[in-house]
Amino acid sequence: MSRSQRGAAEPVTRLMPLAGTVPLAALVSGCSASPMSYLSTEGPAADPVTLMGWGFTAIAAATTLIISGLLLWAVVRHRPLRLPEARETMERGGNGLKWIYVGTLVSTPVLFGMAVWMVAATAAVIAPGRPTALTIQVIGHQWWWELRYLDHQKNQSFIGANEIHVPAGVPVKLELMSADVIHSFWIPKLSGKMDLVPGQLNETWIEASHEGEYRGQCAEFCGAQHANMVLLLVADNAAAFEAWWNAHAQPQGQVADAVSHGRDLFMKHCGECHTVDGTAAKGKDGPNLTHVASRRKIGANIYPNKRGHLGGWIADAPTMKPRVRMPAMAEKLPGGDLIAVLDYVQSLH
Amino acid sequence: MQTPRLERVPRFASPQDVAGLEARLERLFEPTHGLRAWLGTVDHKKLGVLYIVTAFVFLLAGGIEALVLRVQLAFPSQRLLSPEAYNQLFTMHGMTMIFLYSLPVLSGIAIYVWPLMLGARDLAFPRLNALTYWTYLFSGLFLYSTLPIGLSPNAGWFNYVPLSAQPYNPGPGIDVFALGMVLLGFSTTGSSINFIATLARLRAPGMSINRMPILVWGTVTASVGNLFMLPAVSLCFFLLHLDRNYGMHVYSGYGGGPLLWQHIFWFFGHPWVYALVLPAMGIASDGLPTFCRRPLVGYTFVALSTVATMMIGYGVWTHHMFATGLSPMANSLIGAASITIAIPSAIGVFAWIATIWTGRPVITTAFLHFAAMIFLFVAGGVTGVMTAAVALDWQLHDTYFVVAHLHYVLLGINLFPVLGGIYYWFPKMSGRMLDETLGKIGFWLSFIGFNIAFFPMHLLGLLGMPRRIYTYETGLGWDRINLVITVGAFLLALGIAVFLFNVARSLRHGRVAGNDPWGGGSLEWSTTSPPPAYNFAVIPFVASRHPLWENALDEGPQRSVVRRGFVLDAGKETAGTTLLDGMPYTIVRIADETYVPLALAVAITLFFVALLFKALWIAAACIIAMIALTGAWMWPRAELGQRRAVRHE
Amino acid sequence: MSEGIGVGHALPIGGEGRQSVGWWGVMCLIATEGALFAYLLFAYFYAAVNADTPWPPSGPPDLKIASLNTVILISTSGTLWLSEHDLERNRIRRSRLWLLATIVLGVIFVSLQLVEWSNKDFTPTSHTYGSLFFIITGTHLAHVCVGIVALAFMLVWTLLHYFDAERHNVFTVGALYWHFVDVVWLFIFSSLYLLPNLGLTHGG
Repeated sequence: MSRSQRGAAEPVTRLMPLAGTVPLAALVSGCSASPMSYLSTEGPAADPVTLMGWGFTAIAAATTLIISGLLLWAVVRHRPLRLPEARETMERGGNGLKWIYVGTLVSTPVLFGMAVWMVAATAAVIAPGRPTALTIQVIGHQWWWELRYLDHQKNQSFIGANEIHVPAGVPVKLELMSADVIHSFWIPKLSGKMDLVPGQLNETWIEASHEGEYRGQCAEFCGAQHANMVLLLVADNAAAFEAWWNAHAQPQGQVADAVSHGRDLFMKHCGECHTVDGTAAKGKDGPNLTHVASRRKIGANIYPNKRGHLGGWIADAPTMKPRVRMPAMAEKLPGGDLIAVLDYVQSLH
Repeated sequence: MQTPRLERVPRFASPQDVAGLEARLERLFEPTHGLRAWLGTVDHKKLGVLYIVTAFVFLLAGGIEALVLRVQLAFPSQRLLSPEAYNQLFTMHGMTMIFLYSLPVLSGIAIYVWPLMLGARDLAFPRLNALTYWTYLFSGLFLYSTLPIGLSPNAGWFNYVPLSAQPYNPGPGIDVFALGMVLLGFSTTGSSINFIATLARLRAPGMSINRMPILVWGTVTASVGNLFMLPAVSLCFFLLHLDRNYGMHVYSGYGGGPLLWQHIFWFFGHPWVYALVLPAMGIASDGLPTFCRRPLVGYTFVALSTVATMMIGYGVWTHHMFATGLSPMANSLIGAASITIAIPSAIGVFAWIATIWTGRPVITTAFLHFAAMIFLFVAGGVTGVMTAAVALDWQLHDTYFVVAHLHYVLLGINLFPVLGGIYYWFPKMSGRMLDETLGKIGFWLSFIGFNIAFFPMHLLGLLGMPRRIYTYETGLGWDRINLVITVGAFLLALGIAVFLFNVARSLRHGRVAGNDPWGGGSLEWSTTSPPPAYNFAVIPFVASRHPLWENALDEGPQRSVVRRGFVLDAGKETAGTTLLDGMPYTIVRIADETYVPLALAVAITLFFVALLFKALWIAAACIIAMIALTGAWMWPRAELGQRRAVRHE
Repeated sequence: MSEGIGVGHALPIGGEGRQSVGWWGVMCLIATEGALFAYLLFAYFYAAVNADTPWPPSGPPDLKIASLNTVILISTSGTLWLSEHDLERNRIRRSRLWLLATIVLGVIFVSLQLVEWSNKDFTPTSHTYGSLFFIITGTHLAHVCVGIVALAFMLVWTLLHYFDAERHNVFTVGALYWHFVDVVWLFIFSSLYLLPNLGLTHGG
C-alpha cells in the first residue's frame, strides 16, 4: 500500500518540467484541472498508470520530434532538383541501409523497455494491496447507474443510483454488470475503464486517496444518451462516510403530512418504475429514489438537484434528455399534482 | 472446329516488325465505345478509374458527415443534431471511410496500376474485376439507402451487440448495415482473389518476386490478409442478421454472448486496418524513389516488413478488448505483441527517410504528400504504442485520444499517400499533369488543417472526453479545444476541395504529360499516357527492379527489354509466368467485354434487398438468376482456352 | 537476357491445373471459405466453453445418419477422382458415369441431412447451440448444393464433349472445390458429432 498511496503524485510532478520541453505541456498542465483529466490522478488504482502515461507520452513526443527532425533534415540538406532536368539524375548513393540497422537497433530496446514498463504498471493496478471491506455492485442501464452497496461485515446492503459514496483512502471492490447493453465504468481520476457486459460479472477496484468529488462517465457507446450517462463519486472521510452509510442503510422514514398527497400521487404514478424503500413504490425500471433528495444531481448527473430542474424533469424528462425512458408526467400530474409530487420527492432526504 | 491448338511458341519481336499489330490489338481490346463500353467493360484501366472516382464520392460523403458532426461539437450543449441523428451520422462516417473509401480507393489504384507495372495487359480475371466493381458500387448504395429516410445504422462501425441486437435497435438500419457488409465482402474477396492470381501468373517475364514494385507487395499482402479476415466480418454480421430477424441466439442466451461478437469482429477488424495502409505505404515506397532520384533503400527489408506487419496484425485483435474483463495475462501478452508491430513499422520509416537522405529530392506535390505520410505515420504510430500498453489503454480507450490515433494512422497512411499517388499517376491516367501550384496550396491546406483538426484530439482524450458523445457540458476543459478542432476540419476540407478543383481543371487544361513526366523506373512509364487499351504492344522482358533506370544506374550488364517482347496477338492474350522466378510459362487469355458481371451484380444485390424485406420468394428467384448468370459466365470458351477446340490462327 | 529465360519454347494456352489462373482463383476461394468455416467452428467452441448449461443441451447428438453421410461424402471424393482420372485417359463415357454417381451421392447426402435436421428435438431458435448447429450444418449444406450445381454444369459440359485428356482445366478446378466441401465436412462432423460422443461435453 505504501507503493503508491502518497508517492504517486510526486514522480508525476517531477516529470512535469521534463515534459515542459514539449511545446504543448504548458497548455496540458493548465488543463489538468479538468475534472475528467487523467494527466494527474488521485488514487492508487490509477497513479502508476498515470506515471507510465507521462513516460510514454515523453517517449512518443521525443520519437516524433527526432524522426520528423531527421525527415526535415533529409529533405533540406540537398539543393532540390527540378523537373524536367531531374529526370536525367539517377544514382544509388550513400549507405542507406545503415539507417535501417541503426534505427531498428535503437528503437527495439526502447520498445522492449516500454513493454516491460507496461507489464509492471498493469500488474501494479490489477488488485489493491490490501483486502477490501466494502463491495459496490454497479449495474449499467440505458442511461443511468444502479448501485448496490454491500457491507459483508455489517451484513448490510442497500441500493442507490448515479452517485457513489466511498470512504477516502480505502480500497473498494466493484462488481460490474449490465441490465441491457454494454457500458463502461470510468472515473478517470481514480482508475481506468472496465466494461459492464450483460451476462458477465467483471470485477475491479477503486480507491480515492483524498476526500472530494470525482466525475465519471460511461465510456462504451450505449445508445442515444451515451453522452449523458454521467457518474459521480463522492469520497468522504471515515466519519462522514459512516454517517452517510447509516442514513442510507435505513429505509425512507415517515414523511410529513404536508407531502402525503404528493406521496400518494407518487405511489400511484411513479411507483411502477421507481422504488422508495419503506414505501409501496417498488418499481425496478428506473433508479431507486430512496434518499434521492440528498443526491447532488439528477438525470444521471446532468442537472443540479434543484427544485426547478427536478420539477422540469418530472414534467417532461424527454425534452431535457431526449429518448430517456422516463415519460413526460405533465399530463398525468396536472397543475398542483406536479407540485405535490415534487414536494414529496424533495422531502426524501 | 479445327484441330485443338493447346500450345504455341510466341514470336519475340518489336511492334514495328509486325504489320498492323497495334491497330489489331486496339480492335481486340477496345471493340466498343461510349456507355456500352463502360457498362460492359472488363478493362482494368476503366474499372480502376471507376473504383477511384466512386471511392472519392464516398470520401466526400463521409467528409461532409464529419463536418456536420464537428459543427455539433464545436460548442458545448449544442442542439443542432438530435442524439439519434448524431449517432447515425458518426456511424455512417466511420462505415463510409473505413469500408467504402479506404480499401476501395487502394483497390482502384492497384487495379489501374498493377498490370502496367507488371507488364501485363489486364488482371488475371477481368470479368471478376467488373463484378467486384459493380458489387462495390451497389453495396455502397445499399448501405446509404436508408440515410435519406433517417433510418441509418446507429451503433457505430463496430456495431457491438447487444446495442445492435433487435431488442435495443429494432429499426432497419442495422440490417442494412449487416447485409450491406456481407455484400461488400463479396466484392472485396473477389478483388483480393484477382490480385493474388494476377501476382501469381501475370508478371512480365523476368519479373521475379524480388523485382516487384512495393505497391504490389503491399496490395498482395493485404489481399492474402483479406482472404482470411473477411469471412470473419461477413459471418459476424450475417449471424447478427439471423439473430435479429429469425429469432436465433448466437449473441444471446447461454454460451453466445456479447464478447463473441467482439472476438469475431476484431479478428477481422484489426488486420483490416493494415489492409487499409499497407498498399498505401506501397504507393509511397514506389513514388518516393522517383522523386529522390535513387532506388528505394532496403527494398527487401521493406517488402518483408510489409508481410511481417500483416502477420503480427493477425495475433493482436484483443487489444481492442482490454477493458472487457479478459485475463490480465492475456491482455499483457497481446499488448506486448502489439508493441512489436512498431519494429516493422520503424523499418519502413527509416527506409523512406534514408531514401530521401541519400537521394536528391524533387519537391513535387506528390513528394510532399509522401513526406507528410512519414511524419503522420510516426505521430500515429507512437500513439499506437501508447494504446497497446494495457493499463494505459484502460484510460485512453474510447476517448478522443483513440480518435486522434486512428485518424493519424488512417488519413496519414491512407489519404495522404493516396493523394500523393493520384498526383503521381494522374498524368499516366489522363495524359495531363495536375497543376503543381494548386497542388501545393491544396497540400498545405490539408496538411495544416489535418494537424489542427486531429492533434488537439490527443489532448482532448487526455482530458477525458469520451468518443461517440453527441454533446458535452461546459466546464470540463473541452470547449476551446473542440472549437479549434472544428476549424481545422474545415481547413482540411478546403484542402480536399482545392485538390478536386485541380483535378477537374487539369482534366481539360492541364499540361500534356508525355509518357514519363517524372522519370519513373517501373514499366508503367514506358507506355503512352494514357496507355493504349492493350497496355503493351509487346510483352516486355524485365531484368531488374527498375527496368527504366538501368542505363542511368549502370549497375551491371543486364538490361530489360521494353521495346521488343512477346507478340501475343492471336486474340486477347497476355503472358503467364512462374510464381517465383517469373519465367515464361503460359499464354493467358483475357475475356471479352460482357454485361454478365453487371447483370450478376444486379442479381446479387437484389438478393440482398429481398433478404432485407424478408421477401424469400424473390430471394429464391434471385438465386436462380445467379445460377444462370454464373453458368453463362463459366461456360467454357474456346477463345479462353477453356475447352477442347482452340481456334487456329 | 530475354533469350536466357525461355524465348522460343512452346507455351500452353491457358494451361492445365496449377499452370492456369483458374487454379489460383479456386485455391484462393478455398482459402477464404476454409477461413469462414474456421470462424464458424470458433463460434461453436467459444459458446461451448462459455455456456453455463449442458453443451450440447440435449446430450451428444446421434451418430447414425451423420456417420452414414460422412461415408457417403467421402466416397463422392473417390468417385469424382475416378471421373477425372478417366477423363485424363480419354475414357469420356466412364468419366461421365462417375461424375453422375458423384452428383447422385451428393443429392443423397443433402436428403439425409434434411432427415437428420427433422429428427432434432430442437430448432434454430431453441438456444445458442441450436442456432449454431443449424447455421454450421446449414452453411455446409449450402456449399454442398453449390457444389452439386457446379458438378451438374460440369456434367453438361462433359456431355457436350468440351473436355478431353488434354483440355479439362475447368473440370479440375471444379473438382477441387468439391473435394474442399468434402474435407470441411470432416471438421464439422468431428466437432459437432464426434467430440461430444467421445465424452467432450460440457456441464452435462
